[in-house]
Amino acid sequence: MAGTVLLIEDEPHIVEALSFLLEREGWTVVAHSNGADAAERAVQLQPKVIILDVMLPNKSGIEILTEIRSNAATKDKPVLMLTAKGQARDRAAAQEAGVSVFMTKPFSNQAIIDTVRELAQ
Amino acid sequence: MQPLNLLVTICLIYVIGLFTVAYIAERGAAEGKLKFLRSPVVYTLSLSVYCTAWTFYGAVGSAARNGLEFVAIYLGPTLVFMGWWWLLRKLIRIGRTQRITSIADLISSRYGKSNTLAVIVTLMAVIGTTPYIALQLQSLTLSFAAFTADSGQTPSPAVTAFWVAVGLAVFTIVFGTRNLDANERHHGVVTAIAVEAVVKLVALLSVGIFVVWGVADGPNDIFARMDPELIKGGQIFTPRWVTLMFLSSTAIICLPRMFQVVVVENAQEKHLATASWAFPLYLFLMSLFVLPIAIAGQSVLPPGSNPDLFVMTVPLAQEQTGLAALAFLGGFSSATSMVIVAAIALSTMMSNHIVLPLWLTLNKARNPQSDDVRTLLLRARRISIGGILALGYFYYQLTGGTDALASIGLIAFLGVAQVMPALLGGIFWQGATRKAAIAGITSGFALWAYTLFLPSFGGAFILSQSLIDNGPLGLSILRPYGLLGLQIDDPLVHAVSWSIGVNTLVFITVSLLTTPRPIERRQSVQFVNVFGRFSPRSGQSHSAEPEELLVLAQRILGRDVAIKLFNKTAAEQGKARGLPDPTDNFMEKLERDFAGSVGAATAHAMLGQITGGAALSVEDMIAVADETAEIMEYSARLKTQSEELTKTAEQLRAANLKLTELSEQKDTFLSQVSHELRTPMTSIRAFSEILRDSDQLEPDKLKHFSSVIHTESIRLTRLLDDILDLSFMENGQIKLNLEDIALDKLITRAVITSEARLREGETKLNHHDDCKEITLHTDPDRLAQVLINLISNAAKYCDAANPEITINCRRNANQVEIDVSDNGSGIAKSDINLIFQKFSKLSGDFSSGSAGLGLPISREIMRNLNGSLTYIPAEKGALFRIILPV
Amino acid sequence: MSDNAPSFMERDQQAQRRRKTREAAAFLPILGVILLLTPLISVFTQNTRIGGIPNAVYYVFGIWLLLIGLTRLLAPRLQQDSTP
Repeated sequence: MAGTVLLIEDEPHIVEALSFLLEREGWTVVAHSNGADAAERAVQLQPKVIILDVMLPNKSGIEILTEIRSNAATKDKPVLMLTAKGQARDRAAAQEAGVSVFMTKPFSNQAIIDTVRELAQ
Repeated sequence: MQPLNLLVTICLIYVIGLFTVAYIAERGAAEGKLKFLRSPVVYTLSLSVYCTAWTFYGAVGSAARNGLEFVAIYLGPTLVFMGWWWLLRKLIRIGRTQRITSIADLISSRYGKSNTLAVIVTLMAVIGTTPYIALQLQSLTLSFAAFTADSGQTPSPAVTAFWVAVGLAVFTIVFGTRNLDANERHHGVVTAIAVEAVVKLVALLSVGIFVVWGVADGPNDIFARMDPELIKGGQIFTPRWVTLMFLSSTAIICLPRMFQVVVVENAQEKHLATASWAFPLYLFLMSLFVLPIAIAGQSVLPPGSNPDLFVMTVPLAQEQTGLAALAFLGGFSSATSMVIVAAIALSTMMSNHIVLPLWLTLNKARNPQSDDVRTLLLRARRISIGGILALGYFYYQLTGGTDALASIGLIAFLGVAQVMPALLGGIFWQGATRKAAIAGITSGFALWAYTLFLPSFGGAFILSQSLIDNGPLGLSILRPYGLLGLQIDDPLVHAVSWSIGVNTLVFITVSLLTTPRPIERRQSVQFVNVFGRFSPRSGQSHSAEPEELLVLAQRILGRDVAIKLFNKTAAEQGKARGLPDPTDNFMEKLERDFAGSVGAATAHAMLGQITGGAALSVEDMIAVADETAEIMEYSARLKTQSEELTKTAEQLRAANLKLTELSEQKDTFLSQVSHELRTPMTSIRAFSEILRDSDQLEPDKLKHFSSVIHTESIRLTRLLDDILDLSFMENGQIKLNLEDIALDKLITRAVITSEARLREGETKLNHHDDCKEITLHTDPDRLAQVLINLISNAAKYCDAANPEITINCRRNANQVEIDVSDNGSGIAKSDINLIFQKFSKLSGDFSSGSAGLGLPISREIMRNLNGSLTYIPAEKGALFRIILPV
Repeated sequence: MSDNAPSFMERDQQAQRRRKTREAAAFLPILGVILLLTPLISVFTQNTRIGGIPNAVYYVFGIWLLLIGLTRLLAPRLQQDSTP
């Protein structure tokens, strides 16, 4: 069971690590670092799972999530959000915007792999 | 021993005894011992200055002539003291709160601290008291003469009177002018007077008991000898009876010496409660045997004997020399105590209301503190005492003494009674005005002089006998004893009706027709509502310099007292050291304390001179505006309070907002720190887990992953360093290693360090020669850090096709400017305010490795180096300017 | 309300007493004036003697002593009242 994962993240090293991990599990990872057109990219790509950073250039992760959820083409896509801020406020906002799973950086590799797998089912 | 020598010896011993008592009391009071001196008993006894030689000898004389009439002189004060709770208590409270020094001061203070009024009342008091003092001298001389009549060596009355006057002056000066502040009270004098009060009472009671049970056979026997004409049934109530009651009840307040002992010398308000019954009781005992002595005199002594001397001549006739000597001492005590207290009271008035204002006017150019006011006042007071006794002596010499002692006493009573309407109106009626007081008092006084005082000389002084008999220019309608045809046989009743009646009418009418000045209104509120909630408020500072005030206070209050007062006030104002601020409260206290020494009007004028003009302050105006009623004052205060509460609430709200803001800033900062720390940690953890969990990794991947971990670890360390650095600098805790360094060298060092970054972006750096020759005394490492930060920022963000960085230096008179600029598009206007904030990431900037702390740190460094770092919006590219002092 | 605090009734009574004292204090000088300063005095001072002493003397000195006594009675209570 495999598919495409859209990884919206601007930190190159984190992109590299997640790509390595997920590709080893059989996923096709498409990385995207700019917040501005991230939601569009999701519509185009129709990935199985979207991994979304909260802090992105030009647009915040919450905004992107709201766009994803408001577009019929992506509104049911599972979204895993990652944040380095770790504030309760962000978690609440993300939940309101319709996040599937919310995780705090740094994460355990196994947890990411398991979560993506669960979300894809 | 010769009677004369015996008498002189007795007097001398008695006076030495009084001196000792006064001295011990004075010492005891100064040391805070002898608590009983401040007891209600001493206060009550001191009130006995009311009973002068006139009462001691004259009451018997009056009884011998007019029966029970003399009792009215004592019943008036009894009624006033019975109503102590309404009038005397208020007077004493006012006297205390306003630091009143005399009756003139009270009137002047109430009517806007008017010195005109003070002078009028003072002059009236002097005119009214001088004959009274003469009267005491006369009665002393007469008693001397009566005692020594048989021995044939009676000294000339003039000589006796002279030495008595001198002796009294010395005693009064020694104990009456020791303290300047009248409110510090004359403990010595008061105690001596209390002793004299006892002597008077014992003497009169002894003579009385001797007369009733020694001469006669008990009370019934003595009254059996009475001339039935003396007390005619049903004829006690006469106009004269009412008049005497009225006069004596005003005298107990208005006589300068009575005001002195009742109000000024009152140590505690509660003493009044005791005096309220004890003083009438004293008067009762003093008059108990007056009638029997009068009757005995008439029956025992040959017809034609002077009844004014019965107290002494009856025992003498019975060969009771000891008892007669005691009686003599009683009369002596009565006279001396009256003269002493009257002289103190008058000298206070004269020095405060006449000498000092005159001196102030004459020395207007100089500041009041440039001379020692205290010394001046004490000297003025001593001279006044001498002057008053001299005046009394000359009066005695000129008039030669009239036969009826009592008449001159009553004339004096009516003279000072003219103050009564203004006094009562002043403390019970806010509408009474200064003009009304002046008009009332002067008209009453003029009428008194015309209808009673001047005619009493029997044509010898100003008014001729024919004028008295027929009126001026023969106009009988203006006869002093029958003004406008008023037919009253008794001149006293006639004069009382006219002077008091006109005085009161004028006072009320003028009050209704005039409006009080602001300062009068303020005083009227403080007087009438002395028991009310009204109290002066604290507030703005005055224009006076505290140093000036201290100098002035030292002159008036004395050095120690002034310094103590200033220190205490400073402490109350919350100042650990230095002089207190001249707040309204403090100025008011000062003015009151000064008033205790120099009188209200003068104190007001003196402080007015210092604070720049005696004009009313804004604070005064507010008090006046609030004066309408106690309730209004109270509600105004409530309003102020609620306004203050609203204000406080607003301040709290603002503070809360600020705190919320700060807390949000802190949250944002923490959240940013968290982000900046977690990001490299995420990479480190992810890759280290990969390394841990993967058994077969290609060698180059292994190496790459390890190097990522290494890079991110370094990033993490640098970040922590930066945060710590910034926090230290913000607290001003960084250690600077200052040394002299050539600016040129420093820039070169920074450029070399930034080389890698420059090469990376292919940035060209122009380093101009103008940086040479400038030497700085600064921390080279820190300054280099700033330069490196600016260069690498420029290299990183310059978006020109051929990026170029230029460094320029300039040296001005006292500073060096270093500009670091690039040829890029500069910083967006909206971002200029953000660049120096921590973790600010500008719109376009999201390259990794920048935590956004560079510029804040650089700015903090410059701040710590006493310089600055600013962004200068330039035409082209970004320009950062470093400014350092030389 | 604690046990030793005065009850409302007691406080009311105290206030009443204070008011009465003040009223008496106001009345006292008036009593003096009525007894000594009105023609009423003539009624009691007719030309009669009690044991040789004119009753005018008894009246004046007697009333005087009575007034002193009444003042003595009121003084401490008023004093308490004015210094709460």
